[in-house]
Amino acid sequence: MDQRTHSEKCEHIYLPKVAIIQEVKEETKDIKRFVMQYEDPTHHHDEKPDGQFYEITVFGVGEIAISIPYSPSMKDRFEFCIKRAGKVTRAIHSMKAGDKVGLRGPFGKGFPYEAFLGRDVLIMGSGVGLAPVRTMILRILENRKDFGRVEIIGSAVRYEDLIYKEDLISWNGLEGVRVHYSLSKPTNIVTAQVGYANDLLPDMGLDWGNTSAIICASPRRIKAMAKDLLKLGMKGTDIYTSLETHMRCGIGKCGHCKVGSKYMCIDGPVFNYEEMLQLPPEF
Amino acid sequence: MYLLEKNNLEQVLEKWSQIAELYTPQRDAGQVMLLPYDQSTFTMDYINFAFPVKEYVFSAKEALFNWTDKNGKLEVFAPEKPLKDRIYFGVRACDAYGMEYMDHFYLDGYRDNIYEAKRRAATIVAVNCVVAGENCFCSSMGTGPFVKSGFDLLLTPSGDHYLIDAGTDRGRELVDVCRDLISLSDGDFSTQKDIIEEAALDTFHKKIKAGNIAKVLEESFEDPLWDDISTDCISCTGCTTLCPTCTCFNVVEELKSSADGYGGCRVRYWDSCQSDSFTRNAGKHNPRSRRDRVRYRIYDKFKYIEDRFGYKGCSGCGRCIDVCPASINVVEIINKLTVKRNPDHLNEIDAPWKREVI
Repeated sequence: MDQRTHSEKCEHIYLPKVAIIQEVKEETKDIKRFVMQYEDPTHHHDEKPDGQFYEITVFGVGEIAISIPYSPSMKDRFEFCIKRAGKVTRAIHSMKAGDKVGLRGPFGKGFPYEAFLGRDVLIMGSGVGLAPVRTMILRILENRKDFGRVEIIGSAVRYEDLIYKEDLISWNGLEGVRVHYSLSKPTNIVTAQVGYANDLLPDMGLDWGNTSAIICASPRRIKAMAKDLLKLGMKGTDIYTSLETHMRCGIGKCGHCKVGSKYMCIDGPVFNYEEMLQLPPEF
Repeated sequence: MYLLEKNNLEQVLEKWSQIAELYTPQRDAGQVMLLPYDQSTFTMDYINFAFPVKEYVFSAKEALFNWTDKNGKLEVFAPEKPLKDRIYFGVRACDAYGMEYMDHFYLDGYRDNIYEAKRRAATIVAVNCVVAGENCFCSSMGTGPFVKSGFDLLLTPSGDHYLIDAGTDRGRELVDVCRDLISLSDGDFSTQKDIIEEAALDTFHKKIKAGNIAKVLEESFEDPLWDDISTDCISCTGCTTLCPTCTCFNVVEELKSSADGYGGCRVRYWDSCQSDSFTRNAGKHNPRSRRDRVRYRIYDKFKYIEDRFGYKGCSGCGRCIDVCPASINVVEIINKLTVKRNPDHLNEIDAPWKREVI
C-alpha cells in the first residue's frame, strides 16, 4: 500500500472548509446567487483555479455538487447560482449573509479553454444551465481578441426564469458578441425567439468548421442541438456539454454518478458530444 | 517458505493475539464469521466467511468528519483514527483479491484517508482453499482458489502441515514472533502446491463459460433476459452488501446538541446501485429503471470496472448467489447470454451447470 503514488494530495479529502455567505441575490423565483468567502481567506490562495464544481455543505443537512459560474480570474471569493430542488438546496435558500457553509473542491474536469482559442464560439445554456457555462463565457470575454465571433443563447420557459439577466444584456453590447434569447413564452423585455432554440442556428452565419460549442441543457435537448450542429458542419469533438447527474462525494468513490465506465465527477462532468454518445444509453 | 505443524496453529494464534487484535474464523450461529479470536469457537472447518473482510476496512457505517457550532463558532474535525493493529486470519483468495481491489479503488487517484487509516492497521493472513463451495466461481475469474496477491502471509494446508509464504515484511514479522513454532525450509514445495491447487480446482461446481465476458455483455445490452431478471429482483441489496468489491456509499448527517451549542457528524454508510434511490436526483427524476439497475450491477462487475481500471471487478466469491432470495445467479446469467450469442458453443457447458438451469 505504501508504494502507491497519488496525484491528488489531500490529507482529509472529506473535510469541508468553512465559508461565510457574504451576499444573497434572487435571480429567479427558484434560483439564488450566493457570494461566499472562506472564513480563513488564505484558503483562497491555496486552491487551484480549475475544476467544474464545488461540494457545498449545509452543516447538519447535507452536501451537494454546485457548478462554478465565475471566471478563474476571480480568486478571492465564490459566487454560486443555486436552484431550489431538494433538501439541501432548500436549506441554502433559507440562509442569509453571515451564515456559514462548508466547501470542498474544486472538483471535476472543466471546459477545455485552450481548444476554443482562435475559433468562433457558440454557447447555449438552458435555465440554471447558464451557470456552468458562464465560467467559459467570462474567460472568453476577458480575452476577447483570442477568439472569433461569440454567439450566446440563453434559453428558458419565460424571460423571468433566466439567470444572469444583466450579464446577458451587457454581453450583447460587446464587439463581435451576440446574445440570443430562446423562450417558450413571449416577452416584451428583450427581443426573443419563441420556440425551438435550434431554429436560431442557421442564421448565425458562424464558420461552422472552425467553431467550438458548449450546450448545457437536458440530455434530450443536447442531442437535438448537437445533431443540427453536425449537419451545419461541426465535428462531434468540438461540441461540449456538462452532464450533471446525482453526485455525492465528488472524487470518484461513492459510485452514484457512474455511467458505464465513467464517473461524471472526475472524468466529467464536461464531455464532448462523441464521448457522450459512447456512454451507455441510460442517460 | 516456512512450515508449521497444524497442531501448533493455535499456539501461533495465541502469540499473535498478544501483539495485535486477532480476528479468526469463529463459529457463530450456524455460520463461520471473521471475529475476534476465541479458542472455544475457533474453527478451520469453513468454506468462507459469511461476510467478506471488507467490513473491517470499509465499515457499514463510519464517520467522515465531526463539526460543532458553539455560539456561531463553527469548527470541523477529522474523525479519530483507529490505530490498533489488527490481524485478519483465514482470509480466502476471493476476499484477499477484494482487499487488493479496494486498495486500488480507494487509494489511487483521490486518496480516501478514512479507508487508508483502517487499511494501514490491517494485516492479512490468507489461507488457500482446498475445496470450493457450492456457489464459488473464483477459478472462472482467475482470483482463486489459491491466493495470488493481496496477502501479508499465506498458509496452504498440506497434510498435517501448513506451507507458509510471506508476501510482505509485515508477514515476515509475524513469522519472526513464532520462530519456535514456524520453521524455515529451503525445500521446493511448488510441485506439491500445484497438486493441491489442481485438486481444489476439480471441486468447482460453478464455472463461467465465456472466454471474454465483457464481449458477451457488449452484445447483450438489449437482451430480454434483463427484463426477466428485473421482475424477480426485490431490490433487497443483499448482493451488493456482501460483495467484497462493492465500494459505493451514501452520506447522512447526524445531529447532536449540547449545553453550549450543537454539532454533528457526517457519516457514510454502504449504499447499493440496486436500490431505487441510488441515481434518483433532487427533482425526483431517476434515469435508471429497475431493469437498468439489475443490468448495471452485472455490467459494472464484469465490464465497466475492467474497462476503466484494467483489473477485475468480481472476485468470484459467490456470495451474491448465496444470498439472493430471487435466485439471481451471475454465473447462470453470463452462461445463458454466452450460449445465446454463440449457439455453437452449447456443448461446452459442462454438466453441473446444465443441471441447475433445468
